Amino acid sequence: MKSYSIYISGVGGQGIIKTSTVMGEAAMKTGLPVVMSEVHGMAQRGGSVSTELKIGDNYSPIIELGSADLLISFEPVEALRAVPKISKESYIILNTNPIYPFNLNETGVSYPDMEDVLTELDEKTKQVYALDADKIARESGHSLSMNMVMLGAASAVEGFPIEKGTIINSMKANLPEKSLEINLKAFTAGFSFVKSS
Amino acid sequence: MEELRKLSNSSELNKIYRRNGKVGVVTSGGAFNYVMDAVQRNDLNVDVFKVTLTHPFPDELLLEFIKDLDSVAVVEEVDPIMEKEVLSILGRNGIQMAVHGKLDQTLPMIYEYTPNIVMEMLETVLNQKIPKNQPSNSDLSIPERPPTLCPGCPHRSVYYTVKDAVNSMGLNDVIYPTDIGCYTLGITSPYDAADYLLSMGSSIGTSCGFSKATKQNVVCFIGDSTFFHAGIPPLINAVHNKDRFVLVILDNRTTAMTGGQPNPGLPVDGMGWEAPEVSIDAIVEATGVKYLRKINPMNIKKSKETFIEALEFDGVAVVISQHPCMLTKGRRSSKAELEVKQEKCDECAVCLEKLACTAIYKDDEGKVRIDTKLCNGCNVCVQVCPERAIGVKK
Amino acid sequence: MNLKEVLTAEENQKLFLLGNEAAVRGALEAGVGLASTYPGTPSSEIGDIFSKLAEDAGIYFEFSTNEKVALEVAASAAASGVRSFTFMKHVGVNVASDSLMSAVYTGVEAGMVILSADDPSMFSSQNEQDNRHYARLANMPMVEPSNPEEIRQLMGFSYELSEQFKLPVLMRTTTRVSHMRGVVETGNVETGKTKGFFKRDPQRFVPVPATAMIMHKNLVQKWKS
Repeated sequence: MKSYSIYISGVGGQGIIKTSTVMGEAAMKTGLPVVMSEVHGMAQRGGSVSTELKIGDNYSPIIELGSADLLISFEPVEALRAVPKISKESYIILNTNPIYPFNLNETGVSYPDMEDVLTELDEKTKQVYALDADKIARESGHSLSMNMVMLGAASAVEGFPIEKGTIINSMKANLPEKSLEINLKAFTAGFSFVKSS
Repeated sequence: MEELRKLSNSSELNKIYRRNGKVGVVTSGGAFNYVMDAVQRNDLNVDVFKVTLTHPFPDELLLEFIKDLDSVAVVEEVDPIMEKEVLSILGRNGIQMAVHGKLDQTLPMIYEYTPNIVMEMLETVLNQKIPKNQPSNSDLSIPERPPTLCPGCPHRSVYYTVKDAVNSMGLNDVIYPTDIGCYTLGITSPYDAADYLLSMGSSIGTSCGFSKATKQNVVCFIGDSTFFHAGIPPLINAVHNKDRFVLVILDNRTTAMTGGQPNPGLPVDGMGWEAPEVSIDAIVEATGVKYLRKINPMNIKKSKETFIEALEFDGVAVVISQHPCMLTKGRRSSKAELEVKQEKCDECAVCLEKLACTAIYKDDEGKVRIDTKLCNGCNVCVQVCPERAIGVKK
Repeated sequence: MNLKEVLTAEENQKLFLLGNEAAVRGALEAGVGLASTYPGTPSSEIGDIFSKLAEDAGIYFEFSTNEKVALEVAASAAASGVRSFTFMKHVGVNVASDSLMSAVYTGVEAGMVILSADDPSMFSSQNEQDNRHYARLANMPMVEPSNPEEIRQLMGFSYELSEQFKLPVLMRTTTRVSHMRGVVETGNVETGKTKGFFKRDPQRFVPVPATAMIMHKNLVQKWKS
């Protein structure tokens, strides 16, 4: 198969590594070769965090510039930061809920308007699916299921190489049982959002 | 006994991939992945020598590898170690061949490699274009998002209070040696409480030097785990050599930065079994320190009084600031939510600019607000606010 | 995946493991009896996992007070015939280096692996020193894995190598390898020997000038080209 690359970006504590692991394990269960890169440690203290996932015959999990097929961004500014990894052929799942950097006051750089962010991303890619994943998560039962909303949305994107059912099985194997129901609901809500867009 | 070098030359771990190349790449570790992806995806005529048992370096295999090559590139992170091995083997065998790598500046001398760095290197040595996607950059300016102390972190209150004490005493040019742990994040404004750092335990050792070589006041910071790790010998040194500085031991009951591992100050060991707690107080006392106080850093007033006393003390003054890390002790100490009472707030911004808790922000209308999702309810901002405008949401 | 599977997965299973998780699996497959560390990114998860699995695996694990102590704990275990594993971040090896130099002179009875997790580009460190220099400084064999499956395989290889030459073996990873996740095919977990016997031999284990002269000579013999 052609290699499929997913770049996932956001802020420390948003559940990015878990989301990526669910996808990676699902790819493995499908019988696809898969490699992934994670960031741990210092970067997690409220800083920018990203993981990279490559499905197909690859040695390195690090995505070449301009080569991500799919960008899943848990935060608007973190999507902008990931722009060098994407191309005109990429799809983006964007959580429109901003998290303001703590030092915004001193940097002199203001947080961009959401409209500008969307215009910018639209120009650089094939299609952007923008959703308030935090809100959808709350409606599904808990704000912490936001990452599963994003995963559901990603699973519905054209060309995504893993079956929905395989992802759901991987969620069952990787998420705590007591929150599974809410997480599945969140996943389905995200999935439907993209399918009906 | 078979010699190690023979083993390295015959080991299957050191593997040659032939691809009809005139150019060869010698590589190891993570760098190999970038090389192999670039070579395979673009079907390049490049031979690859993956070295896994890299010391002793397989000299005979290298000679075999380069037999029919015109040039060789060495791709490794970080220093040109194998590159120098290759050069020395070629030299010893009287072989003239171009060796590309860090030393001839084909590859950068520092930092990790990326797929793009390796592809550009291959373009140079092959003198051939490799099709690549052209990356674009965002045209909007993007605010940085550096890591920071968590909301409710006890280190933040310590930094705030020490600074407040120093300012109220009118002290200038205070030196703040720091150590390895979350508290290196004190390097950022407004804390500016990280002036010198070398390694684990260096906060105390370097304070000894500053005490002798300057007339400045010195306040140094070290965590509990780091104190056990490398803080005890320099503390003994400080007492014995009659130094004068304030040592703040930030005892947050864990090894926080690396994910919350236990340390000898806790009643549990690496097996998860009950274990004797080793007392930091008792260790400090045993060194003969004459000024030792314990504070709860979340009590701003008392902490400030203690720091003033410690700064006035002529000798080694030790303040143990004990409060558990917010990450490992679970979030939120009380269910009550804090808010800024807008009718009392005069927007002096002490909470925003001096305490700089990440849960406090200014909204679009310029009003100071508390993000209840982030707030841990530590109550430090309540004590800091001069207008008493922060309180429990009713 | 449940983390317990790093221990409980049977032979020939496919697991999607972090490099650091694969290091634990590889050590368990190699029959390690003792593991010791001081936590440091990018090696920290190795200790976290041992901490969760060691009791079930029937082996000993400790967070030592620092890397030098961790290395000493592992070295004396290996000198007593217990396979040992010590792991740390690159700058941790600086702390351990005083005893490391001597441990290569005195050598080991059972295998000993030292994993150094280097941090090129300093994701969470004060420098990006290249610890491959330590292999040369100490005269110690070294392996460099590229991915989690190689980490697992090389653990087994390194213990064999360590015992064949009676030397500790250095495994050098980088952040991108330690924090890479990939498909690992499990081997069989061996129950490690946790108690050995230290056979007194000062000529071998006590490097004072007279004995160290001979130790260095013997060490170089193992490397002869």
